[in-house]
Amino acid sequence: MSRAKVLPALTFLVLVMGLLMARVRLHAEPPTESEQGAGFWSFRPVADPSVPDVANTRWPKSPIDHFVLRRLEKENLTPVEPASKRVWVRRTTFDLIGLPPTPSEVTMFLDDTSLDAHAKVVDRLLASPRYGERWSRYWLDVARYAEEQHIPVQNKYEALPEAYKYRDWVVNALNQDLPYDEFILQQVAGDLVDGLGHEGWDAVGFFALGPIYQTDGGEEDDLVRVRYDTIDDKLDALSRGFLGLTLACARCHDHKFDPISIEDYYSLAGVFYNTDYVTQRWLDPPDVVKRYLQAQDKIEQQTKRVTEAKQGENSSEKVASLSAELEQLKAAVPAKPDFYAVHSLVDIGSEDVPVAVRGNPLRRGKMVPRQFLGVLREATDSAQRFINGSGRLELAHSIADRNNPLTARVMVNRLWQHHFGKGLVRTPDNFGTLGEPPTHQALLDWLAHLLMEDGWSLKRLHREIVLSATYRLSSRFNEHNFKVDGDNKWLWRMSPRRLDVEAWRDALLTVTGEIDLQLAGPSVDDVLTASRRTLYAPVRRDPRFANDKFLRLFDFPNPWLSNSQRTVTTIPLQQLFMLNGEFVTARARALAARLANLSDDHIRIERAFDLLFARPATKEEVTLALEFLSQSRSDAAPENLSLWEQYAQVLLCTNEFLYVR
Amino acid sequence: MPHLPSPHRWSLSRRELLERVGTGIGAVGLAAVMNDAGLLAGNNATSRRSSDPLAAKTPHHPPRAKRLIHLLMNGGVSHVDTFDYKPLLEKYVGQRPAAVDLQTDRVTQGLMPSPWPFQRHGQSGVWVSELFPHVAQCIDDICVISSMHTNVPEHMAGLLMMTTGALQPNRPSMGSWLGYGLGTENADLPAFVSICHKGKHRPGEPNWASSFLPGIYSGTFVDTNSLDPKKVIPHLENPYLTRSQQRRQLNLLLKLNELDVERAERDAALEARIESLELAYRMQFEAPEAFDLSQESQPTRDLYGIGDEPTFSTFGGRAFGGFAEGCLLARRLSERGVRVVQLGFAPDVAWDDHANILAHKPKAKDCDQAIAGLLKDLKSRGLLDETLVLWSGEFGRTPTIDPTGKIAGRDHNHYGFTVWLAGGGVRGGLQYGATDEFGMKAVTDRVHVHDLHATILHLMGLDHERLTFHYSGRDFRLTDVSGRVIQDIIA
Repeated sequence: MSRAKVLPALTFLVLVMGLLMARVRLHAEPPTESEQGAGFWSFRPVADPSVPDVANTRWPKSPIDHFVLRRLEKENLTPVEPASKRVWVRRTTFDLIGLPPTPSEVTMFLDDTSLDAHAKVVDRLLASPRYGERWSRYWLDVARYAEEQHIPVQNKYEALPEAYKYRDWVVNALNQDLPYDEFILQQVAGDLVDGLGHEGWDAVGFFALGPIYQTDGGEEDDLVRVRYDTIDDKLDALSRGFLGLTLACARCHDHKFDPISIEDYYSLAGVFYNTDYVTQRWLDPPDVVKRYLQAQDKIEQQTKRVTEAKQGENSSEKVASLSAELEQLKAAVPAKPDFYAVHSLVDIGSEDVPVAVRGNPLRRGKMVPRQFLGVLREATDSAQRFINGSGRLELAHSIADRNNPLTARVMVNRLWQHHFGKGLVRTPDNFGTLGEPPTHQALLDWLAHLLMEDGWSLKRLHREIVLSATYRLSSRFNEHNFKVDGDNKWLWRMSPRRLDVEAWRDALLTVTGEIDLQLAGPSVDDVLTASRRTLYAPVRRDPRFANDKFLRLFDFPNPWLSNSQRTVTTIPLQQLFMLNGEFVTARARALAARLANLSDDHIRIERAFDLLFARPATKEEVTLALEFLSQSRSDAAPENLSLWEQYAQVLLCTNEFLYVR
Repeated sequence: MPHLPSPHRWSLSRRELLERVGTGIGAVGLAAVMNDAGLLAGNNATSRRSSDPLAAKTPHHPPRAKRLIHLLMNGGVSHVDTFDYKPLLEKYVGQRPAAVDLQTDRVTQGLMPSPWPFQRHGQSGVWVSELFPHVAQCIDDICVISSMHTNVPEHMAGLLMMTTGALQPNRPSMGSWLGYGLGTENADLPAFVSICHKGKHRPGEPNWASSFLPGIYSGTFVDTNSLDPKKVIPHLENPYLTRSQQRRQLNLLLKLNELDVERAERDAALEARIESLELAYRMQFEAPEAFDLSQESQPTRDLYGIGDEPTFSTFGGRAFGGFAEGCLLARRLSERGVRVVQLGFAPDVAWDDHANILAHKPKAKDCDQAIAGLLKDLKSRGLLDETLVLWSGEFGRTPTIDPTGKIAGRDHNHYGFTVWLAGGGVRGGLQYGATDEFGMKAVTDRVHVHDLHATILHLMGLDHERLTFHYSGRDFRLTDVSGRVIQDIIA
């Protein structure tokens, strides 16, 4: 290349770079003063926007569609055609219950030509207990749910044998359509609410099951530091999970970008400073428990006396008499009162804590009252201080307050994200300045408003979303739209999504007929050999067993931290698991066995396509299958993996099986 | 031979990539982005070769080192007994002179000189104690940094600071950052491998986790207790099908996936999976060779001291050893293009000699020849120039006596300690920085772990301030908000 040609090329490159950089900068530039603080979009009250007009009035099926189409029309984009009924029913079934539709469910829907055929499917799915199993898992990611503590500094593990009670509480709450404000209240302070019974104790597992940081030294200073590390985990999960705010950024200094001060941080840290973790709750009346505990106390003191007497210079008679008294006490002790084993919380005090200067709890700054975040205090009418016990119940009410501008927005965004792959706010746990602004702010508000108006019902929100024309779009590619909006920000099509590990494994076991749909209860030992749903896999913070490695291989998040959005990776180790691993081979055998009773290969192939893809096989696919199955070469199939088993494995590993459209 | 990167597509969309690469991306880093975006000549939008996440990427500036081998002396090696000679300890034995602040978080007693004599070595005359006679022979290739300091005197936090640049176990490891920034030279192998023998160096997985970086950049952990390559990479071998049977099965699968793409929707993720399947197929036949130490000659094995009886043992009398094999494996992986190898000395916190500093002796003996063997082997193969070797623990030890043991040991010391670098563009035969007269605190040309990381990234062609990942509302870096490149140690 001559010098003359190189220079323009370089100029062009620099120009392109400049454009790209400008774009990058636009995104990352910290906002100006006026955009920050209470005036920032997410801190403003949830609006009740009017439904906008659109040119193509025949397309919308829900007010949602007006908001979406309005934007598409503005960008000069045309939504692609709707998905076929087959695609829609497969998509909706996976989305709502995490399982594939059965062939008969597909047929029933195809045969139903009534106007509300789609609605019937949605209502059936939302009424299924499988719905709670599916959607609980998204929340368990947020709750960094685990069934075992890993304490690396001491190189040890502590089982959390009752953890499943929290998991089951979430499943049940969703299945019962517990109003979302209640859902929050019980998880933050269920143990403090009268009349909830064990459910209130279970619900605070959101915090009780979080990581506990420990020290390997045991020095006083270290203990204080790790106590605050443990509190920090709770504040991080609480603020990102319920409010979409990164409160943890204010641990050492005022938040650099959001209106959260270090005082705010320690106001809420104080709430958890006065909260303790327990592993049982008494069921018998307080006086019975009191008698038992007093008797235990006496025994303890008497035991001490006996020990002291033995060590001191006392006559054997004296020791014997003390020992006899001890025996009497032991004999008289009432039976242990009935208790409920659970990982739960109790209030242990009601004191404020000081600001830790530069995040160091040993450097005590000024005392701060326990109260809600400054920027939200006025709006939520919770300007008063938290004074009852730890203040957790008051905190819970502040979060679940209808006037809290974040709570409903954050939750509707989570629902949207799991139905469309991306949220309307694409940073689901950061609605602050450094998060992304909403693509459709009016729609977000309309949905948030609907959620609150509809008694915080999540099921009704799901129904509205999946019956919209937007949700019904196919995932068909369109050259023009792709050029304008390759990222599908304006929702001109449905983006194809890979099944997460739960739905994928559950789908494998479903199409082979092996799945065991037992609801609730303790987790299985190893999800690679069990046939219950993947929700019932044991979750450990250190992925040291095959069970855990399998989940992590397919992007199961690290339960040390609250997670709102899984990274989707496509790596060769996953493909090796599918092509060579015993788990998938076993499913292939089961599928081949399930089909073996059918009369001929052609029928078997058709049945397989029905089961796996909810559609008939094309001519070409049948031809390919028959060719593969009729290989006559002597080395085509080893004794221990028949051609049909190999073929079944191929079908189970196809993109079509792994993705929803 | 470094292999050519294999093509396969990645599921990050162009926009996601742009966003995640974050602020301040420089001109050279942009080449990678533009390559991903299909903007460079030779690429078009439909090419599947355009965005392999592990493909070698263009660094920010010309690199001095292409690969990193981190020899992690977990537990905290005593610097005043190895590479930081403090003759004054003899003079003030048992005392606590007021002139130097000897206070640590716990109570210690008087000063204790090293039980091992020091000597000058090589042309450069850098001091090395008797504990590392073989490494001493390589001292002219080594840059000793004597003025290290870190944040806390606690193992987990200290190790995490060294391996991830953060104190809590939830950040991407340095190896993951390097994979993210540079890709690998051999996409048939993981870009980042972590090795230990009969267990994991504390705190285990966080040492090689990718955290919020895409999972493809996480380290693959290998326990050299089972060097069978088929166990090292799970499901590497198909238990039922021959190669040709597998090929036929894969061809059918690829054909069905292709029909699916034609029939329906163009999508990066769908195409990525097709390439990933091909790569997995190839890996089955490439990886076993890389892990096969039996292909090494006897002289090479002798150079590393493989087969020598291990001397270090724990309370249970369980011999560890295996470090020499780890060093040899590190060289094999490194020369095949694995970007980062992290080699833990032994499980848990092996060097943590509170009760008796003499226990350093068998540990040193178990790694001295292997480390020197690695340096010599790399050098004779012409690889040392482009391979950066880092020798470090998480902190050092006090020059004073830890009163917890019956025999004299040393306590944790994060105020001053020693690490060393070799190869990959560093000045050999240099001792950089210094602690005070007693080896208590770094005083001259102090180097924080963030500075060490910044320097390592710099040597590998990356600007630590520009290697960012946008996550949870902000741009993260290996060096957080600090870090300074130590120009003086660069050759």
